[in-house]
Amino acid sequence: MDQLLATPEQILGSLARELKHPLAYIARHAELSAMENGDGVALSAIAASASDALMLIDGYLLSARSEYGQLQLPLEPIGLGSILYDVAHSLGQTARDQDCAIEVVAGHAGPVMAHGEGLRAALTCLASQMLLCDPEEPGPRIIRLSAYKQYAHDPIAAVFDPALDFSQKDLSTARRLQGISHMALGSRSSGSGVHLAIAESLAQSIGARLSVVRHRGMSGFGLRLIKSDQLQLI
Amino acid sequence: MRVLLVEPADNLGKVIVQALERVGMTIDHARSAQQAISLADANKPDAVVLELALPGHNGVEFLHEFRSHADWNEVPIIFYSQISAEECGLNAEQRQSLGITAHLYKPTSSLKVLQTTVQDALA
Repeated sequence: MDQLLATPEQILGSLARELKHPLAYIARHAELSAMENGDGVALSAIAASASDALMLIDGYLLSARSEYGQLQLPLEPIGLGSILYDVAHSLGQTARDQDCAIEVVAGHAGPVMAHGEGLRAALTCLASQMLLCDPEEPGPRIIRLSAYKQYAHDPIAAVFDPALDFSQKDLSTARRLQGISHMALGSRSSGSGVHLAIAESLAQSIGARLSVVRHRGMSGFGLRLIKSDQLQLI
Repeated sequence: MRVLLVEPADNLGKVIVQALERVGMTIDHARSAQQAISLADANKPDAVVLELALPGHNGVEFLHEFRSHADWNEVPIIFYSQISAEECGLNAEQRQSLGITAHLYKPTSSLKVLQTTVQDALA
């Protein structure tokens, strides 16, 4: 008798890859319709929404392939500034649709050892998760992407909403409820917290650690990264 | 300007055709590598937009076949693919030697970016 063709993990991987086709079609079709009809708001929101889903799937596939040894994510010295700007750019439309501005504060974190695509995907997931969080006050929001270093500690790339406060307990709860709750971040955010889970999985693949971090009176999700001495010498 | 689009997905292909036609290009849409060679034979393209994931064919194999025709050696090729630059297995040097003008990752590259990239390649 034949064995099962694939494990549930393999089926999930195939499903994720397959979902990229209709999502890419939806995103590009909405973009084309916006070009042709000039109906900017609704269609660009559809395009941005499908693009966000594609980014999430890409993040999942990257972490899953790394986890199962199908893909190596080699670490190399990189600067954080360009990565933060890439993330801000890729989520710009989604943020604007939600009356939110994304700011980048690329401070003096110095170069880090990371895998560029993996780090970009992890930070995109964290910023997406922050966008999903419910603002405590109505009105325009700001999400801040920061790179910084505290004293002699490792460099950190983090995502903050200055109007929201997070504690390590929020993250612990989200970890505990992952996969079993539709509201892993409780009242703070709609959704299952899957962005956070994928970000953490990606972070592990590139030697980084996810935690709740505090900086200049703000609290948010941060990745503690490995500093690169090599690039500093250059 | 004539562009050969090699895109197996019919629905997405139609969207890309319309987007490129909007910026004044004439598009031949091939759904497979074999069809792409036939269309290029019939009408020499000024540029090629290529999805690397092709049915029954590896896009890179198609690329080598396409480049083996002397007439098509100088035609700029743009990857617009669901396979990322990292996954496709070609390094920057190999891409340059094969005359790849750009590698756009389809899930994150808008039609606007594609239009601009093709226009730049044809300029």
